[in-house]
Amino acid sequence: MTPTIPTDAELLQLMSSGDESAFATLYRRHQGLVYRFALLMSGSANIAEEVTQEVFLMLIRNPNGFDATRGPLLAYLYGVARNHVLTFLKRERPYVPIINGSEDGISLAQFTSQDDPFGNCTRNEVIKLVRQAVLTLPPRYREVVVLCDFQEMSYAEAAVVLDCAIGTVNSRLHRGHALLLKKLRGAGEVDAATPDSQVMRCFA
Amino acid sequence: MTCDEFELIILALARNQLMDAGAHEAGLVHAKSCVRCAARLTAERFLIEGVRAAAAEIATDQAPAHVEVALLAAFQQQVSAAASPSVVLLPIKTNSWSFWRTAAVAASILILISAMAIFWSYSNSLKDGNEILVALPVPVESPGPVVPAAVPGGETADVPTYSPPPSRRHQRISGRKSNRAEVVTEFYSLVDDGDLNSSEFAQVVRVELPASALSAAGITVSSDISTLPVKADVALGYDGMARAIRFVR
Repeated sequence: MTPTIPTDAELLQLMSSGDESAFATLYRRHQGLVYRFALLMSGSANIAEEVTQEVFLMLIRNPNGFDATRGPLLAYLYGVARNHVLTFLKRERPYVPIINGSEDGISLAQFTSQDDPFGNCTRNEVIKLVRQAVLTLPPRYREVVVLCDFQEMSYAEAAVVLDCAIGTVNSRLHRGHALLLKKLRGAGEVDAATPDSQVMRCFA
Repeated sequence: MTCDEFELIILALARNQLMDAGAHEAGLVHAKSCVRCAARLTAERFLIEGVRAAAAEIATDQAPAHVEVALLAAFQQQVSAAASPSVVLLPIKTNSWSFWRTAAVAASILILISAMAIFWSYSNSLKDGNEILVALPVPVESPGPVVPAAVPGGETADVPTYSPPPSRRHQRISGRKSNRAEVVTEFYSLVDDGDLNSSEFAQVVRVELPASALSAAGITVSSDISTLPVKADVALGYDGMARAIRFVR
């Protein structure tokens, strides 16, 4: 006989009554997704760590803030994490690195193929370039790319997290992909002569 | 299918999502016939592959262990903080009730003691008043002047000594009693010849004078009561001169 796995709602109820193990279970169940969302959105492990802590602290302090009728707990946690990340991004918005190169010498200018934006890059190089390119997206496109592409959410789930229509998610994802491809292909034309990343003003 | 219609399903095609079979087939047919859309689909597929590789790279990334430790500590603190108000409030309520109960009992005791003290004091006063009446010498009804024996220039044999008057409350209570029986001394002569004849008294005047004034009449007064008032009746002759004095108690 297999033990039944408690649902988020059950754990949240136990947690509200002071059950520490219920909170620990909830935390271990969702912290990875929240942390990775914050990491992909911010590009900083420190910010991701801080955002994760804030999200679950909020859950500790106000467990009744979650309304089950508006969506699942994970969507609620994503929503809180998103607000915290956007706050961090606004704080550090004036200066963001642009991806015209990196310390290991990989440049988007290497991509010569019309169809394959990554050319002959190795897998690790592709990963690095994609993450750098995602970080240059405006937040409203970035969050859709992170949720739908990285976290593999459906449009409907992403719409709940972002509190917008499904069509908005679809259109933003299209726009985000177009911007990503444009950046991956054309970044080399911006400043191929300087391999180091520059810090410039972001007008996104 | 047009290029615009293809653009609507290109993400689903690139991600191999579940979609309408007809739309899926029509999109692939359009990509074969349109070089631009074929290139778009290829690029999207490369991008999706790159994103999935990046997602797989961090798929196991988690928040550091110290975050969990800190959160569990915060949870314990929150639980104890939520529990503490009832723990704290309960004694406060008990103390509050106990305080008022104690205060009420104390007030009752004070009232009882005060009532007993007043009653005891009043009964003592009545008792004292009776004792005075009993202890006093036989009163001499005024105004019948009595000629004392000789008062030879302050000789001590017949010189009366003054005792201090009773306290004010005692006086008041005694005063009520003295309406029935006022205690007076004999008249002492204030003239040199010492001949006191009541027929020479034109008027008797009740006065109140300091005890120190008694020394003028040859009465010894101790210094500690010399400032206390003393009641006296002064007998005046027809010529208006004081002839004699007696003391009232």
